[in-house]
Amino acid sequence: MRQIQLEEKEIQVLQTLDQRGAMSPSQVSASTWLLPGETLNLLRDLSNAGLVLLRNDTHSPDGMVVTITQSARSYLSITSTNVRQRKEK
Amino acid sequence: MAPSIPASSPPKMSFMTRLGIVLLAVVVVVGCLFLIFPSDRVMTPDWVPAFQSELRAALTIVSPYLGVALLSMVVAIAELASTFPTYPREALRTRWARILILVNVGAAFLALIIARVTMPATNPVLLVIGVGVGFQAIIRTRFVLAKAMGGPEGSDNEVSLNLGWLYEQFQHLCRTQIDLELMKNRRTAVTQLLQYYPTIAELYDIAYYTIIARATLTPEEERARVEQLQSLIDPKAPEQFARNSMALTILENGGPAYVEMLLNQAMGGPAEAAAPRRANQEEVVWQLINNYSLTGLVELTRSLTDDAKVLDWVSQAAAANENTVEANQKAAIAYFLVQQVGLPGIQQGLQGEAERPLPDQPEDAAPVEG
Repeated sequence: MRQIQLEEKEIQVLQTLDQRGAMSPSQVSASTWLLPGETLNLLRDLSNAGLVLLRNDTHSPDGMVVTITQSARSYLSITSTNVRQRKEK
Repeated sequence: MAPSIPASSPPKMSFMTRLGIVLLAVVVVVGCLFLIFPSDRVMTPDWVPAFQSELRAALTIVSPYLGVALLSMVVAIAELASTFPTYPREALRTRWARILILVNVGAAFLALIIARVTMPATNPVLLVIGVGVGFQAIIRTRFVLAKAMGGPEGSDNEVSLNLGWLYEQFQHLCRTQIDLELMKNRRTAVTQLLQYYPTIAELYDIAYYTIIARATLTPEEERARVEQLQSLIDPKAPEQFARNSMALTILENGGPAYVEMLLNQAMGGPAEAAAPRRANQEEVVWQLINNYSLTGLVELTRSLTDDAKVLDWVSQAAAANENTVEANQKAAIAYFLVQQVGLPGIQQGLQGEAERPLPDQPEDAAPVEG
């Protein structure tokens, strides 16, 4: 399996998408307290890494929608399991 | 005009229909009692025992036909339900489903008549079971009389007698016609879903949770369906196609009753108030985006809250940034305000703002289309 190293902010964005489902990048900004420009950059990076899907949506206020991929969900579940195991030790 | 629930939804039984069913049940029970009860042992008019015996004789003749009709109907209904597992009720209500059931019943009647004529001495119960089950099996069977050793099944190197060929053709015709009849309802349901859940985010979420909430899907099936859904949100898929396909995914995975529930929710029905609240939120967000400039939003935030962290975030979000566009900045601030201040607070603020002219409203600012 491909090794993925993510920064804290990226994990925060992925966790938000995992918990709250598909949303517009502006909703991600509002939920994570990240600034809009920074959020868009993060989302583009995550999209290039295949962890989120970013596409246009004319019905969204900012014209875009983003959702988490299954591989990112798997990554998050593995990460949370590892963290739990480390805490238990 | 408020749209109606799709035609595929089951109609609610009226009081008269329910009363009719109860009356029919009472008539059946009374009829059975009348037939079973030995009226010649009690004081009854003379015509009653005679009528009773005539009725019994008539039933003796009719009951084998009722038996085979019932068995053939069960087989035809089971076939239809397994062919249209997502819409069994709707499929059974179509015209071609009725034709299929009627043809099955008619063929079973014919088989029973032939059997009774050719084998008059056979036990009637055995005859009913034999025709009701055996005939249904025979008209769906292909007999292989000779086959090449080791040859694949259904190859040209075998001699077979396909008694089911004719029925297969008829079944295929019925299946196609029922599918076409259901298309109308499917299209209505999809259109209404798109009307009430217009954003890809909403449709994707509902479709995703519909798939993972299904109890009968195997993990492999679930994964395949989620992957198929993900392929729709891919930027390569055209937007309208993606929205239509997601709505269809919801319908195919959740069924018409589930879609009806979603539409009821969206219309502000009694089931849940979550969807209307979300619609309110979207409405306020669009209002903020369309009516305020970035500086206007910063001013509005100042009038709504004293929280330094919130004010600081909004000021930074409104600052010029080459990585983003104004629509994205405005939308982020609008959602942020909804989360931090709350809908009632913003609505009050907007009402207060509406009563006085906006000094910083840009005259040439074109509103974003909603």
